[in-house]
Amino acid sequence: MSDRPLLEVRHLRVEFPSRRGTLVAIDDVSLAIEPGEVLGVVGESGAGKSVTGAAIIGLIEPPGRIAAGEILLDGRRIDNLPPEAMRQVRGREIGAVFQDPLTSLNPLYTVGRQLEETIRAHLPLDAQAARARAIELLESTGIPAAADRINHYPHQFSGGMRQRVVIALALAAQPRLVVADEPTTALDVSIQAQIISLLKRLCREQGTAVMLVTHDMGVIAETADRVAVMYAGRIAEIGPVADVIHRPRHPYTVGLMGSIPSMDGGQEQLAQIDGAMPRLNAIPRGCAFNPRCPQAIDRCRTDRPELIKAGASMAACWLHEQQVSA
Amino acid sequence: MGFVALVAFALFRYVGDPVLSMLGQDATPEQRVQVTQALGLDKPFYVQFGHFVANAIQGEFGVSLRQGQKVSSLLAEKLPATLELALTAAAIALLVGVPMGVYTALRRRGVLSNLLLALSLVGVSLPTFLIGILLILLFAVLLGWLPSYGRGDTVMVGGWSTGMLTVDGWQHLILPAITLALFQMTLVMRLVRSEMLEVLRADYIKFARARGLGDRAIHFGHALRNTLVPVITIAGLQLGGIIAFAIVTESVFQWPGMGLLFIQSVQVADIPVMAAYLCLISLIFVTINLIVDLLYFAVDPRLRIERSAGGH
Amino acid sequence: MKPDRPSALARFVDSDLWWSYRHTPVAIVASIVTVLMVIGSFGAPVLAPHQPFDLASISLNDALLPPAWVEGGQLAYPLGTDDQGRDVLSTLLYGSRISLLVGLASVLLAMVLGVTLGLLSGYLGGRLDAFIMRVADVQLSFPAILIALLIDGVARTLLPQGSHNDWMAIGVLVGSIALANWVQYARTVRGSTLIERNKEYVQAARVIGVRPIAIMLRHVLPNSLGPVLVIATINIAQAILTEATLSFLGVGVPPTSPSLGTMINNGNNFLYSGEWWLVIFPGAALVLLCMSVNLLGDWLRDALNPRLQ
Repeated sequence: MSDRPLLEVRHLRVEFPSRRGTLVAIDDVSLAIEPGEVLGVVGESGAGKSVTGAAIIGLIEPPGRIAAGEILLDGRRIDNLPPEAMRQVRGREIGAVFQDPLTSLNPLYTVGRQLEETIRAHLPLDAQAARARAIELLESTGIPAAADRINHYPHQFSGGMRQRVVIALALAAQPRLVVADEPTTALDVSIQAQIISLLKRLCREQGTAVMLVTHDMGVIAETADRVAVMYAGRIAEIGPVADVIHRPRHPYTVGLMGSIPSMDGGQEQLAQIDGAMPRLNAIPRGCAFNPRCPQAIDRCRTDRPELIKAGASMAACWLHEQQVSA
Repeated sequence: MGFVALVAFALFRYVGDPVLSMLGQDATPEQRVQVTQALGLDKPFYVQFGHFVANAIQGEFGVSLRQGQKVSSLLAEKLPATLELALTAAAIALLVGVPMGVYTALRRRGVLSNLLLALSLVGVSLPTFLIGILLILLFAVLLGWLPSYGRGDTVMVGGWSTGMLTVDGWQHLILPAITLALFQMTLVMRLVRSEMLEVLRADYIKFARARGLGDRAIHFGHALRNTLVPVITIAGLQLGGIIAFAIVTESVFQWPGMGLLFIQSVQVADIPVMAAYLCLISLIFVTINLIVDLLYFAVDPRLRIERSAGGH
Repeated sequence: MKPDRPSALARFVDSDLWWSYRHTPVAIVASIVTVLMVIGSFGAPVLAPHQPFDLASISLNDALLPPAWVEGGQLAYPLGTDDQGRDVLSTLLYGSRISLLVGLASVLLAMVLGVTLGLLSGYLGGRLDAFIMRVADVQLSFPAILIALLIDGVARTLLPQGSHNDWMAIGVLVGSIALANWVQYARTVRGSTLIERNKEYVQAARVIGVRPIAIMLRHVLPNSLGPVLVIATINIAQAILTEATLSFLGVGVPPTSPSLGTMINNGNNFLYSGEWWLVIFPGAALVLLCMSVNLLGDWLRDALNPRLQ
């Protein structure tokens, strides 16, 4: 285990200029991923999870841009690389899995061709070797009769199989980090578990770290080592999974955990957090959560909190400031 | 096709009074009766239609009311001229339009791109006949480089008169072909551009980028292939449009093709020719549609017969 | 009705559309040019310096004069005169009027026809739908110009020679262009109708007993208007061009009410002898008109496209 995190995001800020002014999608987001670990990133729609993932792979669409902060891979800055250098990072060092396997694959090309071109883009293999490797990859993701199916088109696979192909593609060049953005949301519930466990197994085998972006806490609980909770473009809390789930420190996380129905609890009604996440162009001053927070103090309304150590995790909440000095 | 034949026939029989047209105003009643019987105009509707279709299939459309020549031979004479013009124009439109469309899609913010786009806007707003006139003005009158009308020297190749085997023929072909192609070219360019922009926004392109594939592979491997599929249907329709707009171009350049024949027949209400042209054109269109469907089938794997999809 | 709903005007001013308009210089310029041309042409009787159709006011002595800034031209005829001594500028204004009239009328007609047929087809379905769509399919594979030519030609022969008067001829022209173009509207509206028809509020309305027509008009129609409007704007330029082409070929407007196309046809005869202004000016007017309308249509389409936000 090296002493340096594999991926570090420092004070990242992503802006989207639009017709009505500049929208800040994520603001002062910092996190780190150790080699081989699975970091979950949860939050509601619009909280900034996907944008963070996109920024890491360098796929923020113009006119959106990284306005401030740094992204470091193994100590090396990757947010300001020229396009060709970034291209080499993608796929080879950082892979990606997206939500919808149907639209992620080009319907006009066979699965084999898409695999081979990815392999040959990064590894110096000839056509035959690439093909053999492609078949290997398909087999490792659990697709039966891989040698035949490699010549099939995407529409000839079922949803779950397609996502396996996508995973194979993401891992083709053996990246050290995979950003998985809602990888199971578009799949049947029964398939979801299979895909998640596949992802987890393959990554563990290859020592690949995973940034798992999702709104499904259940998946996180099963799969992640650590989890970051995002709210309104900022990180509310980040820490080991068990800690964040069972001993949430940030009032938002508390609310989140409380709203998940549990099998054994005798809840009559699902607990809800009053109000809604603010729109990106109307984020309150101070802590973004303060209007809805049952424990807000004066300072919450004026100063934006930094991530403060709270137990085994870090929470962006003034309530924990006292602990620091203790 | 049947629908069109019906329309053509209705035209033929009911529009205007063929007998009157043929004999002129001064025919005596007896003459009228004679001709009516000879033409079978007093038989019931379906019999006449049957005759019409039977004749049509054999390519027999009667005699042109104006030119006194058999319609079918008239058409046969003019067909090569129009086809050569149309195919050349189509080739120009596609060979120039597609690359320009791709270029403006890939280089969205370049100076050349915006210039091409602006020009394309003008192109869509210019009527074909005006283009023809201006081209004639520029190249034939002012510069004197190219001839301004007619088809030039033609060579008979086994019943097909072609202008493509002579330099003079080519010289005559250039201006009309460009005129005809220009409008279609701008349409093709704008279409290809917008299709490609759509495609470039697709998820699989995003995923391809995330896999680290280079620009070349993405643009020309993935995006282009996917763009061209819908463009094929459009290209087919283009050909139809070209054949139709040939009417205008042939008028401006006095190009002796079917279009010129048709417009002349409309001007003098020469029904047999109009009807025959209509049938021929619809035959051509149906054929084009068929070819396009076949092409589509060959290119898009989703349309082919599925082999059994695997399990989970 | 909610009393605190802002007025339609207020909503428009605040809307994205107006914002987009104000910030797209091209759209502003295009609309100004279009408005100017519309005013110029419809106001022709008032604005034109001469009356080109009043035979008493033209004189052959003034025939074929070049534009005022060329040697030999006169200030009274700023853009020159044609072979009959008619002032080009005035003829241009009147001609634009005809071109615009025919263009707008045919688009309106096509829109009404297409929208109605589309609504009926989508809502009522069944054999009517199948028939209409079949006709539409057949027609789609034919270019508009061909259809317009055909209908125009047929109508010409149907009408007995003597009773050919101007308005009838123009009416036929408008009709034929409209008949050539209704399909796009029908298709779009049919698509929207099919979607809306299955929505719950429509089903609820039917259960309550609201008449189908009311449903179609009040609910389905407003939703399809956006795309229809865009098609219409693009279509206007097409219709104007179709009319110009037909007139150029001699089968469009009657020679007594010449449109820009007719003018170009006439001017063509004098082009090679050097009287270029008889073709260039009407040509330029035509192109300018079509370009501005096209630009407006393009802007409208982009502004209304939710995916380009």
